[in-house]
Amino acid sequence: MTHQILVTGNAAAAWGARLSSVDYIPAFPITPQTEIIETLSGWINNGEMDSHLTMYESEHSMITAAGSAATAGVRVFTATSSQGLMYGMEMIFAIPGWRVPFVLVNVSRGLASPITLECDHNDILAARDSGCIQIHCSTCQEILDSVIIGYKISEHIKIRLPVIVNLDGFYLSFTREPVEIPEQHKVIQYLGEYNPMNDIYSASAPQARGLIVLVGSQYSYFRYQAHLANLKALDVYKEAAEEFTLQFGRNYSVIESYKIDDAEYCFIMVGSFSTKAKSAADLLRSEGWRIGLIRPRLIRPFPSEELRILLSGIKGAAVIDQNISFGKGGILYTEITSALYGADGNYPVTGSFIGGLGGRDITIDEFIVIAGEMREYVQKGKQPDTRLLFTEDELQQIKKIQLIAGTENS
Amino acid sequence: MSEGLIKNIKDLAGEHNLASGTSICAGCGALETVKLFCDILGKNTVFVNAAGCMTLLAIYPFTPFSGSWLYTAMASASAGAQGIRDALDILIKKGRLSAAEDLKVIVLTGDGSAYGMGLSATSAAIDRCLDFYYLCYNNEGYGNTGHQDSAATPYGARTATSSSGAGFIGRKKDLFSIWAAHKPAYLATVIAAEPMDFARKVETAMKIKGPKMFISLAPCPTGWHYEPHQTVSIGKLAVQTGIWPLKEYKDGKVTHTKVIKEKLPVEEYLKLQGRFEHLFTPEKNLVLINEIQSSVDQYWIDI
Amino acid sequence: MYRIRFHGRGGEGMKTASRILGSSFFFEGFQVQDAPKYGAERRGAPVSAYVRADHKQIYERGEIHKPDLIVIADETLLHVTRNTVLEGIHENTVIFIISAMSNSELEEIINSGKSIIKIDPAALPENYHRFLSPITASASACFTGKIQSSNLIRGVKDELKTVKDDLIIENVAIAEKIFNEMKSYSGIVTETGEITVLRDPQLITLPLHNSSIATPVIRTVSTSVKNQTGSWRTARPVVLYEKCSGCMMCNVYCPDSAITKNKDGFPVIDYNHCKGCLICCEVCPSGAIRKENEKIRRSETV
Ligand SMILES: Cc1ncc(C[n+]2csc(CCOP(=O)(O)OP(=O)(O)O)c2C)c(N)n1
Ligand code: SF4
Ligand code: SF4
Ligand code: SF4
Ligand SMILES: [Mg+2]
Repeated sequence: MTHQILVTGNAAAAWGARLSSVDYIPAFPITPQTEIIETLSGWINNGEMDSHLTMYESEHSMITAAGSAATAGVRVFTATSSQGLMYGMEMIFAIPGWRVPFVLVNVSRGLASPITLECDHNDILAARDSGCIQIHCSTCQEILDSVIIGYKISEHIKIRLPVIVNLDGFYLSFTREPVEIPEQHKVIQYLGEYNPMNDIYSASAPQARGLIVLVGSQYSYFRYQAHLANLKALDVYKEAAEEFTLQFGRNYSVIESYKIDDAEYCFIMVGSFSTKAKSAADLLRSEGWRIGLIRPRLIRPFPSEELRILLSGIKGAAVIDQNISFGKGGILYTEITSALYGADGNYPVTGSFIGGLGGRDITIDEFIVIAGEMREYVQKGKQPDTRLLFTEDELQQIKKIQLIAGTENS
Repeated sequence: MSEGLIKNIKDLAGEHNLASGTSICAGCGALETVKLFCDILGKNTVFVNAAGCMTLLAIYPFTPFSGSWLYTAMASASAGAQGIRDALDILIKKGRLSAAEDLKVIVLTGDGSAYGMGLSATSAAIDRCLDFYYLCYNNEGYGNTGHQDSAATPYGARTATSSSGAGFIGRKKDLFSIWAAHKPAYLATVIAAEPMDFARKVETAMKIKGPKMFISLAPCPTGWHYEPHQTVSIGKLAVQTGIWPLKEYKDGKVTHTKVIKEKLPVEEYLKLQGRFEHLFTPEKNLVLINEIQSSVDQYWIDI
Repeated sequence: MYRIRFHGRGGEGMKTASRILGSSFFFEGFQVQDAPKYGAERRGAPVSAYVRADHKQIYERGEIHKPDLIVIADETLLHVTRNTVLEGIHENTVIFIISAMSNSELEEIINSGKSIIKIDPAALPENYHRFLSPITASASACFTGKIQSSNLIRGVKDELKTVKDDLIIENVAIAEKIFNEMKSYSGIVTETGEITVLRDPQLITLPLHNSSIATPVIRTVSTSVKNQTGSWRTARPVVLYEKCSGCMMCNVYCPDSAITKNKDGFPVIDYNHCKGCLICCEVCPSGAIRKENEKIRRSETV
């Protein structure tokens, strides 16, 4: 029987791994991910889960081992965050070329410097061009389900790329919500027993992998194959999600849309704060606005076509980025607008807002201001400049702190 | 703190070079270590820190240090130290900084970094004969992330990732010997619970140029599960049971600086800590306790 | 939606309290969201946790800015982080506090004109500190008037799954006791709908500053003394000068540099910063440092 329990986002991730019957878990701790590996280690130690967890000495080693174990034929799960993802980044970029499956959960946390423990999305987006597939979650339920769906995509013979499932540090990782725990045998039925196919080392089937390729044309071939596989993952995702809906009843389209059918305006964002955008939309609707939310779940592959369909006819779209590419601006904004540029159709004026860096709240008041500003720009028919959500109050606080730090006059 | 040679414990008393008001746990043995180190070394210092509990010493805009500080990353503090040392040397050589403005460069890391991710960068810094201090406060686990096992976790201890059964099954790595094999200028084990031994070693090191390495056992109430007031008593017991040998390496030779004639049984040390509780309840696990005892005995026979 | 915020100190069980209350609501059929708010701080440092409970899916996230109930497990927080603890009080906010202060004293300090419900520690078991989670959770559950005691108990048991049986029994007993004693307040805490009173956040365009200030750098020393970690204490060391030899062991071993030396060469404890670890008591060779229970006096020094 399925049942709902209250669990944190981290525990939901651990449940995803447990229900997917993973064989192997390379681990290294980092706040706010530790609860995931501690939960799994606890289950393994008391016999509730038949899996093997190895503590590594760094994420570089941990991710290498995740990839190598996957080449050797087991179902692998691993998890990290922020500085850990960065420290393992060499392997995050290398392993997609090995074309092996595993799921990595990243618990988003801002990057140094300044070092922080709180959430934003610069860590996960730094892996954007690696070849790994990226699924971004906004609730604890979605985390559990995405881990399971992740294996389905990752292990598909045309794909065989790592899948990163992203959840927000603190706002999801340490927050309990009601989560339905699917039955183990149904998950196995959905995923199938792990079949490594060619991805196995054995005495009877020797293979040499991870090889150097010195000829540009060959290199181009392999690299482009990984790109095509990543693109193809969009279709595979859709099939996997449909099958998931049939089996478990929950619906995960590549882009979640909320009250978009009749909308003139919309917020576009990823992650847990997007549920706040829903309440802001509800509030604005009660005042007569026609406004909704668009939330891409997949960032790689990027669902350009689906986005164009949803945005067609909308007058103003506010992209709220919980990240920043220094010298350019919001990363999601760049992705969204590039999908629209040059396409035939009636697309909105888009505005770029950056908020929630280092876990800073994005308040309902701010969503309301954003909507108001978008309306003005639509009336002017002009793209606004990028704007950081930052208040006069906050600047005054900074000045006080600089006084203590002895830097305000230097 | 008196200036000049430390002859008795009163010379370590008075004003301190590490201020109060940090957000480190009450009763932290690592904080005690850093405080002592700062007091002996003086104010003209720059600490280069790797990720760990002590990263939280300085949270903008609050620093407890009387000198300077740079946080780097978990793996590369020793490389960060080399950059600063080289830059200071260049400035002094080119006359852009007077020698009086020179600083002692100290790497400050936990065991997770020293025994694991940071070992490679440290090995290379010793290879290059870097003139620096390395202070590893060893709380025998990844303390800052909630005390998971590290390469310095003792056999049999429970941690957040060896939470059941007999506890951690690995053997604590002998970092002292690994570092000694690099032939650094100076290397010692210390503990804040033995401040005079600590002070003498740091003062010895201060006269030497080159890599000066310290491994300090740092009792951790939060990760070892004991009441904060016991930090010094547990530290002293670590020495008196022979579990934490105090020694130094200099001129190619290892000397034990405190040889305990009548060592206490390891039980005395273990039973005070929640991380070893499973050795005593529901019933005493004599096999495991004896195993730990005999490995300590063997160490002292071998030297 | 119910929005409930717990304030206490690291180690006092506010995370557990929020989880017990969250589970109780959940068993009652509510949608729930609960979370602790961790800082970098440790045992003894101010912490908070919150619970949201509603009849439909909850879209709000993060800290609660407009609480219907504020639970204060530790009265000293009113001195230390008053603004955080009392943030966002609205028309119907109820404040619940465990405090030995008189009602008039409390009203003066809190100064909000809102209903304050108080439990005097004298009316609680002597070791009530170990049971702040069931105490605060059960009182809160009772105040909502929406939670049956059976679901509260289930919440307590669910949360304490891993502890020993006799401890569970103690926790359940105290939860039941408080739940019954608070019956007269049943229903005093009410739900607030969507928050619609809006305020212009006054967004600005951040200008470029010189790099010398636009990086987290401190160009001075020892600023940490501005943090009054004395508020972390649950017990305080007191020097008995008649016994003290002035050996200064306490000063050397105090990890927090919280003992200074007076002009006569004797130790003086800096209560603004002493975290109450009591290492000094343990190392003093003359037994000249006494441990005192802090609860009674902490607020005076902070
Ligand atoms: C590359 C990287 N991975 C993980 C972390 C998370 N992290 C921060 S502190 C820490 C533990 C460090 O352990 P140790 O060196 O023993 O210091 P302690 O925390 O015990 O003081 C870890 C794993 C990090 N900061 N950087
Ligand atoms: S966890 Fe241990 S080492 Fe870390 S600050 Fe706390 S007491 Fe010190
Ligand atoms: S209790 Fe004693 S040792 Fe501990 S912080 Fe206070 S003064 Fe220092
Ligand atoms: S340790 Fe005891 S006797 Fe010595 S100075 Fe401190 S209080 Fe006095
Ligand atoms: Mg450590």
